[in-house]
Amino acid sequence: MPLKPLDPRKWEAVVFSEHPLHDTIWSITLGHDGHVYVGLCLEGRGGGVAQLYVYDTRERCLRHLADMGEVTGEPPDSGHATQGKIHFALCHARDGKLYGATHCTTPPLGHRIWSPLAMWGDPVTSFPGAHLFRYDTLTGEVVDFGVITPNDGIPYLMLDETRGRLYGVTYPKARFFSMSLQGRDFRDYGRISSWYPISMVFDQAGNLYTSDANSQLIKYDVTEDRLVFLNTKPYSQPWNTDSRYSWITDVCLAPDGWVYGLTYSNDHLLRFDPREASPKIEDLGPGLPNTPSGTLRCLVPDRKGSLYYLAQPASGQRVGTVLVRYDVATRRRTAVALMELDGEAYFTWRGVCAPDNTLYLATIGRVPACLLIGRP
Amino acid sequence: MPPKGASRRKPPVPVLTAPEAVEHASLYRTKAFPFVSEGTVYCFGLREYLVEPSIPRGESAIGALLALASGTVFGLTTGERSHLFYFHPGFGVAHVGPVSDGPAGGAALLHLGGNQILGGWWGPKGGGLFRHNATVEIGQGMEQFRGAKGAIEPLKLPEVGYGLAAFAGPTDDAAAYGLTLPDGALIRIDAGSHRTKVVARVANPTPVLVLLPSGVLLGAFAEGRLWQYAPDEGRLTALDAHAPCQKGKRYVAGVQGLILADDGLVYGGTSTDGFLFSFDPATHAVVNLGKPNRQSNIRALAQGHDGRLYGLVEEPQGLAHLFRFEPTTRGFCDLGVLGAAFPECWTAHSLGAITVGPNGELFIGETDSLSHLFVYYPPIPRRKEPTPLPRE
Repeated sequence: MPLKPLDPRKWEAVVFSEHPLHDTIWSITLGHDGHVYVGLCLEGRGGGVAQLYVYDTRERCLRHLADMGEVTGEPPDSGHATQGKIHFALCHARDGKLYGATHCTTPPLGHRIWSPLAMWGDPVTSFPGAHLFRYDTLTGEVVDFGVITPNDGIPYLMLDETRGRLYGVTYPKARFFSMSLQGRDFRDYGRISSWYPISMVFDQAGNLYTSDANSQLIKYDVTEDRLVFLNTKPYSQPWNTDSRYSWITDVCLAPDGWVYGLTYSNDHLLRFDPREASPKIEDLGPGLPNTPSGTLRCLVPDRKGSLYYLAQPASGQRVGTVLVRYDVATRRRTAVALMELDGEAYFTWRGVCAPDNTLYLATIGRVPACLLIGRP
Repeated sequence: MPPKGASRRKPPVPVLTAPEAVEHASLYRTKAFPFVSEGTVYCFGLREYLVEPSIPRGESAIGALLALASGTVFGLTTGERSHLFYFHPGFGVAHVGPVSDGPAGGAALLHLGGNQILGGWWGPKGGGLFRHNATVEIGQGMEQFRGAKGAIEPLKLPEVGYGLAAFAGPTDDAAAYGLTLPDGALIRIDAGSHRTKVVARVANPTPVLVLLPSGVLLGAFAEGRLWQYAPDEGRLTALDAHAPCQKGKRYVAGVQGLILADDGLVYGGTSTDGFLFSFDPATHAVVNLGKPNRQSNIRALAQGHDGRLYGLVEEPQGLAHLFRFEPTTRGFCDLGVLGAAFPECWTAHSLGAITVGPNGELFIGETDSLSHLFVYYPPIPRRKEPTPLPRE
């Protein structure tokens, strides 16, 4: 039986109409207040500046919170590559503070293209560097802690509330770092990958896991304050012998204590047990039973013991991205729906699940950007 | 005069139009591609395929490279420890072994002739000196799938706390000279016995040393000033020759990457402003040749088989670029950022060592937490079109 599109009685697309040119959302987080906070990016147009938004889950509406050009003091016409992105870099604290970092690759105003390596250090058209900012969701106050990583963007930021530290990685230099909540006491742990890691997760002890571009699992050991390359990798196609271009792309800590994840360049699920001193990655097989996919994306744990993700077809395969549900206890995979709503196709990279099991998925590469909201 | 009533149109003026807009997909490759694309680049990890990797992250920054005529290239790493490794054209990189227990901030290698090499390193807790017979590494042939390893023979340095930062030689009597950091001791290492002796001391030295054809040793020290040591006379002289620097920066000026080129000139790079300069040993004339790149700090230089100088420019927190200098025309070319897809996919951000292989290829060492050995093959010059035969 052919798969049906998303049910319009349960799903809606909420468009960022106040910023109709913005094209991508990499960061979405569920706040202490149950609202959904979003970093809205403009990657494809010179002079774009990232915007901070909240989706009010009670009022069911978007509200604009902050303009990163204003927060950082770097307006769209600064001449430099703009503060056009908040990548995987929004972190919510229990006290209502939202920590975030800005990121690069949006060209300067009037430019069609921009390369971080070609323009590194250029006094006119470089990216000045990523800012750390803090938005207080209770008062609306925004604090800019200034440029943290000159010329480098911060595509990933993680908050360890227990220790009062932020962890992240830079781009293009792919250096792992930690710093205080004020962006001070910066510690550089050096380069960890050819390209920057694109997933991170804490275990319950506060250790952080990530991977390099070749799928190798890397642990930041919080007790020893050092990085450990664990020499374990997830499944890779037999012909991709060095797991090239195969980051662990999305990870989450599931209720069973295991970390589940996806990789960039194939359709297998993975998991590892972070409670082990030196975890080994276990292959869980293809994400969509009986139907090979190109890749999997947008891993979101729900509140009922399942994981949701998208199965994207490989070129030449079936048409349409599929929303899949994976039952952690039974390992059963169920195709839920085609990622189509009211005749339009959607693709999302990140999402969150609210306590009432509502899914909020954030689009990439779509103008204007939108949130896909699926209510149970 | 045009006939009355005829139009008097001025001829059109010449017009230059801007380059045609390139469609977006090819714009990056054609106008914004930062990587070396003139020539070919390969990248090797510091590991051997059949051996568990044993040069860990944090100990792999390549501080020195030495290419031998056999095609075998030796390297010394820096970081938490120093390691000796080699690249064999037959099967890649192999690890000979660690050479230090403590941290190394810099390293040096020298070919003593035959299959003998000399190595040294320096760091905050001192350094060391060793000799290595590379016969087994060089002599590997077919049906050998793991890298052979000869012994690393430690040599005694004159005083505890010295570390080797640069070598020069060998001299006509097969001796070598070394410069230590931070002390600035110039030491002579005798052939055969490899006994070491301090022959001079230089304050605030920079890690460069050149043996001139006259037998005189040339180096640099505080404020970018050059010095020379005449072994026959035992005379150390501060020369009236300073490496160039931006006006007002003399007190922080420095030299890096001093080499003797085949035109008889010594070429050097500066650490403060990234100038390339030449020094004529006959006249002591210094010429500022300009800058290859916006960044300060020329980290290393080598002369290729094509007579051109190749160098690495990278300021602290900067991004390393490979550049080329043509001595005959005095022209620079910024070749770009070093990146490769084969056999490893990697882009270098930091590069600190360079040496020329027997076929004119350049071996370039990365200086990062996870470092790689790059091989750059300059392009083969295009053969001229044949002259057409005269028509009968």
